Amino acid sequence: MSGWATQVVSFELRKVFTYRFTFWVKYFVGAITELTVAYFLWGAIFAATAGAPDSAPGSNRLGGYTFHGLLYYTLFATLGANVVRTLDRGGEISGEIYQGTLSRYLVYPVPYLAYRYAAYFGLQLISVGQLLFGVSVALALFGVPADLAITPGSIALGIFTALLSGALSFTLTACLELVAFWQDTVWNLMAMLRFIGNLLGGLMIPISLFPEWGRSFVAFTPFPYLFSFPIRCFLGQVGGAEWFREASVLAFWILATSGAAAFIWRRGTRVYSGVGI
Amino acid sequence: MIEVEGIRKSFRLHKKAAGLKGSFVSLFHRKWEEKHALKGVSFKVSPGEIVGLVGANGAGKTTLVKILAGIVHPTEGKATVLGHTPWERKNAFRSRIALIMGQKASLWWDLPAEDCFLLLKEIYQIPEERYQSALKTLVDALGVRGQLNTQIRRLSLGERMKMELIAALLHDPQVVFLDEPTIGLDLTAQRAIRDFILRYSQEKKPAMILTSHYMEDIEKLCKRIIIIRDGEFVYDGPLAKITDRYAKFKVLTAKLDPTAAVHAATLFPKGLGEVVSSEPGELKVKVARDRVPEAASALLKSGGVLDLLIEEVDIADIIESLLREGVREGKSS
Repeated sequence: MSGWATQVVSFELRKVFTYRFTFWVKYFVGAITELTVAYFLWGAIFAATAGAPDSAPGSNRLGGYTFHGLLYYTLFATLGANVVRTLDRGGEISGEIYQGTLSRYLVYPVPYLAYRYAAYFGLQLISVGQLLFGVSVALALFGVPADLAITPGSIALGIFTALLSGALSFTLTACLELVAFWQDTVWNLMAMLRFIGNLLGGLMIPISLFPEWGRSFVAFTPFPYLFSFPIRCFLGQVGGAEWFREASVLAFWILATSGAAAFIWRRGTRVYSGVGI
Repeated sequence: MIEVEGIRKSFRLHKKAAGLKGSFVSLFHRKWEEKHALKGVSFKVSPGEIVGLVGANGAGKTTLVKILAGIVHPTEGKATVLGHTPWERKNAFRSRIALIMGQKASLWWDLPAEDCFLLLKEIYQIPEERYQSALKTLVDALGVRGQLNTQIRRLSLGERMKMELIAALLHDPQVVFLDEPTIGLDLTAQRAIRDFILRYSQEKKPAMILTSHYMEDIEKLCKRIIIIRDGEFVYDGPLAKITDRYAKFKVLTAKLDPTAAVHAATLFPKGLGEVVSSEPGELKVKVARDRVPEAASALLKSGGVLDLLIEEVDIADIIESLLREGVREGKSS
């Protein structure tokens, strides 16, 4: 990583640390809250579906997961998603185009989208800290569930994969945000992407719970590589060869969306007028 | 250093009729209007020169600065800054220019200035020794050492502007664009910024383009000005010559003997000029330049005049009139 990119990562961390109340509430109280919600939510679902035909009566399983298994799935899904997508971020690029503050970056001798990605990566690192904290609390309280192969290795692989998925999330979002060069507001596009990503990416429910045709469909989209892939890595469900195969597809999507973002950027800066507040 | 030839820039603006009906109609049909911000301007700026770009709001000053800083693409025309086409935004170009916009913050509000400077040091790849030396010089010159570790958002407007100047000049740029650097500042801060820019220019000799609505900025800093009106240059030349060329009058102020019984206005023969003000002890008249000797002689011969002062019309008034009415006798080169 070049000197300026390292400095941007550090700069972003310093910005987050400036507001310490927000930092503790957002990242640590937030992790405890996610864990508590998951515990009571899945507890209620398991209690309500006990004996239902698809819950494997007597085995206390739902869609192949035990109660603790789904608890960890939810924890890795929510905290892992923060690593992929970073907390409460989004809209910086479109906001800077809309407000004209993009102008200041255009005179710096660094590529703007690379600068923004470095800042994004800084926020991803904080979310990694949040995830490690949340998982430590869960392991201390519930131990490792019998149906999952969660190990230090799977968590490390999950973090690495989530950071890669973050690159896809960044480039995918950037493609939509850059539409702000032509359309002043793009928050509706971003909201749609967020909803579709959550649903088809396996963030709301595991993709393994989708019907067969649904699983076949999402396999042709980049969304499973946003959330489902890193979550399965965390849960120890992805082995060596399978990981490389899926990581190759993820890399393809990163390259494709980076190329698209670079193309839109080149066209967009030609029409940029730098007006704003 | 800066060469501009026939630069034009047009924007397409959406015009919406007022009210709910206008908003509803705009959902289906929009009326667009072409705004010509620059209508083919050409000029050159040499190293060490500070050129004042003067014009009313919306005249095209900021658009021109944005084009030369590489932020905006022109619709037509050519420009080279330091041998580069600005809007190609090559790193070799961007690392040698600076842009300071008084109306827009370029520093990051959540952190102290020193943190921002450290980031800029990496962005511009300034060697440690050169960075420390430049920082010390600029901080001392602007007297902001005590504020280096204060969050930017907690600084006063004047202090923030000084930090913006430091941030822009740390990498020792060869071309500096200053877009209203003193806007909104109190008189003391304005003077401090102005003095600093003048000293910096004399020492480092970068080419500078300055836009400002404050005539004092222009008068103190620029030997050459460009007056821009509706996207066209109406004057490009030495500031000193604008008076010779466009001031049609001079102002004569006569200090009168307060004990004299004669009324001040009656001292001045009608038809020689226009009485601007007439008070006990002082008479002020505006006289055509070619009739000044005649008017001065008439006043002195009238008796009762203790002293006579002949002055040029205020330069700000001349520029204001050029901005309002344009140049009747044709454009200057």
